[in-house]
Amino acid sequence: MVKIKGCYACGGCVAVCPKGAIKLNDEKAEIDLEKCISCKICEKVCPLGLINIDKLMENKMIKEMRND
Amino acid sequence: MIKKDFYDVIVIGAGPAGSTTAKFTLKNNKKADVLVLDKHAEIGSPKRCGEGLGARAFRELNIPKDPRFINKEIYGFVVYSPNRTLVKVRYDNSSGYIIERKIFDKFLASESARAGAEVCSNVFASLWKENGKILGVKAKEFGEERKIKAKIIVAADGVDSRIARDAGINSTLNPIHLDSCIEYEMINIRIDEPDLIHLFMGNKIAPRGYLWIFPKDDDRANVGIGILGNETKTAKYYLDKFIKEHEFLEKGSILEVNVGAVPVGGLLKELVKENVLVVGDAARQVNPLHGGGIYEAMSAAKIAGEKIAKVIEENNTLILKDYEREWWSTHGEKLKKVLKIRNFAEKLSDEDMNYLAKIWSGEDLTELSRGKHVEVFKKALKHPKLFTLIKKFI
Repeated sequence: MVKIKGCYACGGCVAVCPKGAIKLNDEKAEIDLEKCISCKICEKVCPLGLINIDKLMENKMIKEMRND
Repeated sequence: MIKKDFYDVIVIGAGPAGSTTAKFTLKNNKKADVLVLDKHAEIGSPKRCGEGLGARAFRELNIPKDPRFINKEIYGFVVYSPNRTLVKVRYDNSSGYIIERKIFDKFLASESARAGAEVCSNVFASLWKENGKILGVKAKEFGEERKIKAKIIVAADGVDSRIARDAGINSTLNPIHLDSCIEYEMINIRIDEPDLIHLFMGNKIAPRGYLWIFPKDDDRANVGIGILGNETKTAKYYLDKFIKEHEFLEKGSILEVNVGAVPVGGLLKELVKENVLVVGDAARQVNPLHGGGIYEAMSAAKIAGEKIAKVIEENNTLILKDYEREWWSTHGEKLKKVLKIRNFAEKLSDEDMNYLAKIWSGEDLTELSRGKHVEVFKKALKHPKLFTLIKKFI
């Protein structure tokens, strides 16, 4: 689960995610990268352009590599 | 703190849809046990709204003209085409009001409480399912979770509704059925005719949407924009650009920043699943042309409340489907027509919009927002380019 920094919890990304991978938690959008299929629809709907799926996936990989 | 472990009805969301559903449930069945929950510590805040509400809503839903939630009385509107051709109408009587959602929403929640509902803010609710059966909600407050049983659950939890989805209703929105929005409440701006609302259109100004100035005072207004959800550039980009290019706004200060997403289409065919009923933004009950949802939420909630009251009295959940049937045959069909008009408007170039602004009046636009397009479209048939497009819609 990754929190989106600077998010105002408008809920747009939650509504459009075809996999239901995004939730609002404590007034921030949270993306479950395991469920995410990188369709990037959420990137376009965010009024502030805060979501970068490639970057989030990259960070996830880096974290996992560090843990190995 | 939630007082009981079991209720007839649990309403999730204390916005206009949720509070109104609770109120009308109790107005039609005084003995109903109704709980209304809202995840926000303060009901109604932050606002995700331009705060405009038409006079018709006040009349039909018996909303009092309480000065505590009325900022400004509005007497009409000005729509600006891309080259600033005006479509203006000023009525003798007020056509609407710019309200204060922070106070209005609390007022509606208070009304539901006065009708007999228990209202609890600061509680996050999710669906409680066991062995495929919906038993109630899991309510989280101050870090602690409790299970509360309910016969009926009302999903009034907004555009980002999870309850409807968890109940098995597919409410995922296609991004073309979403408007990505941002708004600044601004002070020290110069507004010509602050007793009218101002709407700016244009593919470079607000792609598949519009920019609005809704005056709350003579020098204060909600300045916001809604654009196609699928657009490459952000809503913030378009709003900031417009403000920068217009001195009367550029000199203003910002009192509040609001970010929102408005469902404009994607009307749910399935509004009831087993013992879960969906209403308001969660049900995509919003006018797809102008994005107004308060009237749609409250009028749908009135129907929902009536049916829920009957369900409890006769102990028969099947009656919930009557809400779906009645809403669709009245408001739903109308919104479907408005969506068709919106689909037409989407295809207009800036040049088309400039032409239509010359031949259409303010009254024509009002008719379109109500789904009455035939006579209005006929006026535009003389334009050779629009002829083919319009013919499809008549």
